[in-house]
Amino acid sequence: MIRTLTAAAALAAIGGSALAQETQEAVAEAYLAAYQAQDFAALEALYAEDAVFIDPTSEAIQGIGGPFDWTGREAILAGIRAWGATRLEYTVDRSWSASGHVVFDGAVAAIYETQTGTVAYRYPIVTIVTVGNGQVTEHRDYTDFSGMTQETR
Amino acid sequence: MLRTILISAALALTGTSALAQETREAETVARAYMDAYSRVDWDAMAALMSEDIIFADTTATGTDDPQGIVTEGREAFLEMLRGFEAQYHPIELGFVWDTVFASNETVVFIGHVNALYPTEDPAQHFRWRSQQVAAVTVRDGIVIAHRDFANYPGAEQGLVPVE
Repeated sequence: MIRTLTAAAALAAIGGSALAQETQEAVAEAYLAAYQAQDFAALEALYAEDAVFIDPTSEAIQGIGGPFDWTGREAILAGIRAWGATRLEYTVDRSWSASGHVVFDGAVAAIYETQTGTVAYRYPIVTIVTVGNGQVTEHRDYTDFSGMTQETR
Repeated sequence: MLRTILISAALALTGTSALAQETREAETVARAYMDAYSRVDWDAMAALMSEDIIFADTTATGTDDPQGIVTEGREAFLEMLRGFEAQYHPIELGFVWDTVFASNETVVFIGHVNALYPTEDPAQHFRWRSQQVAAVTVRDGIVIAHRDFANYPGAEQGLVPVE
């Protein structure tokens, strides 16, 4: 928050044009849709080759298969596949973007189909998708793992 | 075998408890650090910074910083904060957090900045308000990383009466 008074003018001049911002938001929205659907073909097309997937809040959390810190398209896809989730469901309370970063603030539910039914693990989360040259260059999560709730559907 | 299971369970519980304690301590430090940031009290912030703290705000792009702001080290960060103060004379950053959560060493703040600046009219302040997410990582009781994301394009700004 340390660039304020001049920010509006500077952002208008530097890649912060409304059109660029709309395009970045559209890529991020398409990415989040593919991510929720666990559509790996779509994700492969959207990730930059050297993309980064990171969740600093996952580092020391037991039982989640983390930490989630992968660099490179293939590593990211392998990491996400290893979750084995059927799909993810986001509930976005607030969304905004700045300088190629699209922020989704809300909750995510990881859905697993089991022999006994459907189980959803829901976490409060902030997901920040960074877009460059029409591709996702970074997926950054901050997850409230201690706020997880479990639901059987 | 039973002993192995019991020892494993005890270690897991001890580990969980230690992690929970570490997380609580991280949140206490991070809240104090962000309170100082909100008050533009750089000395109080500095006391909670590690020598090699990394600060990043990659949403703060400008003509001089097309990739945003990234500083490495306490002195570099403080120099930037003091430069900001010298240029704009902020009264406060006035953070209001809707949500704060901590997960291991990282504490996440979600809400708004409500920065106030003086104007030539003593009865009015200039207010700059934006959505903001901040992530503060604490290790051994001090902040080692601080990352801001602010909605610069969507900020509301204007004059407000001095309260």
